Amino acid sequence: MGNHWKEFSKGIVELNPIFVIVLGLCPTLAVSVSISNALGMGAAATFVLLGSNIVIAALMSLLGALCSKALLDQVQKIRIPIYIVIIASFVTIVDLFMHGFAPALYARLGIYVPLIVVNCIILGRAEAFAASHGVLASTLDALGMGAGFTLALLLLSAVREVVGAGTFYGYLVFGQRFTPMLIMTLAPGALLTFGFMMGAFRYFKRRASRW
Amino acid sequence: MGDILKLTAILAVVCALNGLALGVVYEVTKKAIDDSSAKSFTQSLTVVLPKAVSFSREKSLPLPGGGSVSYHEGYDASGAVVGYALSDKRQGYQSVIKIMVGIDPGGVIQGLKVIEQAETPGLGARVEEVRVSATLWDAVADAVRGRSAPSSTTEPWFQEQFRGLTAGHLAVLKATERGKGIHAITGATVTSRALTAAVRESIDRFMRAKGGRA
Repeated sequence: MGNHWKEFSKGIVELNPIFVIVLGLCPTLAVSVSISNALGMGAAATFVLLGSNIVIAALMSLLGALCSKALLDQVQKIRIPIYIVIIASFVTIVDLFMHGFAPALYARLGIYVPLIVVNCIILGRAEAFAASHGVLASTLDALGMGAGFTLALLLLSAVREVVGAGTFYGYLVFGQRFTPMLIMTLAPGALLTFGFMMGAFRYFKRRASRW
Repeated sequence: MGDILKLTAILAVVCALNGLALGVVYEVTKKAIDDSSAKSFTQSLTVVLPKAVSFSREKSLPLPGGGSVSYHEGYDASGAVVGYALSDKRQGYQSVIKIMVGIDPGGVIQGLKVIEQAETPGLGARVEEVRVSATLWDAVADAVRGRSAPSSTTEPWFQEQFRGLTAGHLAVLKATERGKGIHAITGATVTSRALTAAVRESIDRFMRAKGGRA
């Protein structure tokens, strides 16, 4: 039980994909302008991560049981194309469902939905975890990493939306006379917020580990 | 040699299974996707021609001097034409802005809708900004009291300015200037001008095609 909890929880703080592993920054910087975008992106990426981790873990265990040792070494050569095909399929599934059932969110996230294919968090977890672990452990890993990614997006977007647009989840925070700091919704604001947050994250992590 | 065939077979099976799964998902979602894009198109028509209750299929008129203009007619309950919906696109500051504008037979603008744009967030993208009045504290208070906040889905203020004007009155003013016309968005003059020009030109073109009558 403790072990299972650890597979899940490591993605949230200890190995947070954004602040510690520092993967998948392109969608993170681009999408974290508003909390609703962050939630949509977090959910979409978590779904893809979950699907690809489960299928890849299952497939690799299956191949491990069926193939001879020599063939298994050969399979290593085609593992990346296999991962990409599986990840791309799940992304297309998300893309189609979002287009059909959440058109407003789909329009806002735009190009960043198909770009989940090249989100390094997903390929990274497939390669570093799912390929060498069982289905249950990979499921927990995906959920934890997805939660960590979503949480990081939420933190970033909360700061950027409140300061850059004066709203929180679309509601005014300071009243109508507040002039928002535009730079926070633009690219430099993303990098500034990200830099400060990463610094704070590492500072508190180090302090916590010392005690 | 035997290995490469086995590897090919493994990869082919993986790809085939994924293809199959995608085919199923495509079939499942196809109807919803078609419905939602048809619905959003009809919604745009309703926004630009608020008086119309039904709309024609796409029609087109030849332009004097070549080319043609396509448009949709809007009808009221008795079937009379109450206006025309015109679509156009134009390069903005950093993206192509697609618009739809509705005019009555006299050429007075009934409504404008930005169909698609990817202008700078916080600047040009404010063409789609809706003035919010509900504050976070109101929303929290409402949620605590168990009431749902009144949904204030109003039109974006920039687009609302066009209503009631004719193509000849579409002067772009500074945000601080007073008077009748289109007040530009602060810091997004290029976007404001491009959008206004797109509206003006699409109406002019349509009027030319109609033979200058309306």
